Amino acid sequence: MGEVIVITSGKGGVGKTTTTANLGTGLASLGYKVVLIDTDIGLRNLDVVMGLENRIVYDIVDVTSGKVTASKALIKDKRFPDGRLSLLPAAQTKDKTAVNPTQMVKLCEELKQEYDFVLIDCPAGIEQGFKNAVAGAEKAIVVTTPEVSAIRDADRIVGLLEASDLKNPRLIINRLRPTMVRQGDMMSIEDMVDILAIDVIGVVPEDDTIVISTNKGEPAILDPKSRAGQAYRNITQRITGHDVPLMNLDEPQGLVDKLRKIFGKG
Amino acid sequence: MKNPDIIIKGGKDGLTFYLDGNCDFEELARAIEHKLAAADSFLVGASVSVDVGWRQLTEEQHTIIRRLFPSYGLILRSIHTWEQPENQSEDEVIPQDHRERIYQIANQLYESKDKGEQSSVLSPRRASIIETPAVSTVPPAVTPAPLPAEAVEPDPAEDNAINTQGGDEQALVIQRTLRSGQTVRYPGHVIILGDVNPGAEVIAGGNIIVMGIFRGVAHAGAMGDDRAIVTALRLRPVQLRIANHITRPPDDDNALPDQPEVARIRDGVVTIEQYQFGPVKSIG
Repeated sequence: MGEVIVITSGKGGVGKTTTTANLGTGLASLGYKVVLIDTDIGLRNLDVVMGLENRIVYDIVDVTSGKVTASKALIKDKRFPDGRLSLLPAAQTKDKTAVNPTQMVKLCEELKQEYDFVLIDCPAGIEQGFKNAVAGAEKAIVVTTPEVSAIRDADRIVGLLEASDLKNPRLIINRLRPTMVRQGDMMSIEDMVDILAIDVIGVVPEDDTIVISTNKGEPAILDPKSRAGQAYRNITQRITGHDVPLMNLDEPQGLVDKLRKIFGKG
Repeated sequence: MKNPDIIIKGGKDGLTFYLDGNCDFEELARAIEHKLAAADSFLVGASVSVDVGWRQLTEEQHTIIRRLFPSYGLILRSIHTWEQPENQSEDEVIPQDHRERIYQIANQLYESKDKGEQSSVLSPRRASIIETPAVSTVPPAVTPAPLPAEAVEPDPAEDNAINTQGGDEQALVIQRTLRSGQTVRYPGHVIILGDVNPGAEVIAGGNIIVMGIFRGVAHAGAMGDDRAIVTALRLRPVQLRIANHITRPPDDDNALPDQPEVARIRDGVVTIEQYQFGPVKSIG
């Protein structure tokens, strides 16, 4: 029996989809059977980030409306053998009301029988799409960036999650820039935890390789040199119950400097 | 077809929804949903228990109710049925005076309906104002139950009456952190054992006391009492209002004191001072 985890944030653009793609890919490389569900109906992205867009035939609405079975709509990621990683894409031509929370509960129940992890990519906002995404979830990961607006929304989300019986959500701090934190120009991890008062499951440093990997449709976690990928690998370890220390965030200074040199020369 | 009755009642443990025991469950669920939707964000963050009367819920219906409230941002604490579970006496499930109360409410509803009066359902605000005195002090059925179902709009006179009636002692204790988007409104004092985060709001007829960091919006003495105070272990409000005065911290305030503080009105200005031991004097 698998675990159903929703990845949510409230604010848009903080990296929910990137996080879902990376964690899903990471868990699959550890040998788990993983299915990703994109619940951002009307604004689907996860398939693009995963590089699976061209293989979509059926979508989540086809499944919840009973048109096809879930197994038929799932796209298997060929990077992994034996269909260990699958994606249930969102519908692009409909909107959030095309699915309701009851259908989501049923879908998650069904998928977790067969998979070790069901990761749900939640849309931004707190409306119907959010309600759908959290309906079937048992655990939640809140993604935020070190910005007051993102923190404010994350706080709201944590409140709503608590109200929907999703206790103890975990926090991923995304796009942290240690140099800026040191200079006092960016909120520190402590500042954020102080307000949100939830456990941090990982800190992902700002990393240019994310842009490249997203555009290529290859999650950064597969790139052994990517620092963000390393951070995501650590998070997958923690999700599966291993105690991994936070990666040394000071190091990126060197990387940034290196990049600066490259750009300076170029 | 008659609409299912839902009575919302505020008590010291939050709101209680008393549900019609006789109608179809689906109708009832729809009516609750309608009620919650109509309340908009007013009820968000409220702690709720549900009393389903004699109705026996199936597992599925239980789940529906359990999911319904959280989907509107309410926190469902418990679901009570009058049916006695094995080994548990009925009285334990619902205290006797509680039961009596329900009969009174039911009678009221019946009467008001006969007179063809409008809504039998009280807005939570009214309910919380009216019901604040402990339920156990409800007088025997001879006295008319304090639920004037005919008045839906809260009238100021009534609010004042409550203020004096309850004295200074009415207080709501909230034992958790208020997060962004959550609002507490209460005609008496509000005590929060936790933090109040940015984007959260506390509006009290009396004082606001926060055993934690206050980072939200506070409005003490919201019904005009300019003797009200706001105190917190760390006072970092986005905006602070007392009665009809509004203030906010200066923009360049870098040296925020690391100590408990009290805000109150002094000579017509909201002032913030270090908290002193001993009784906090209201100046006004």
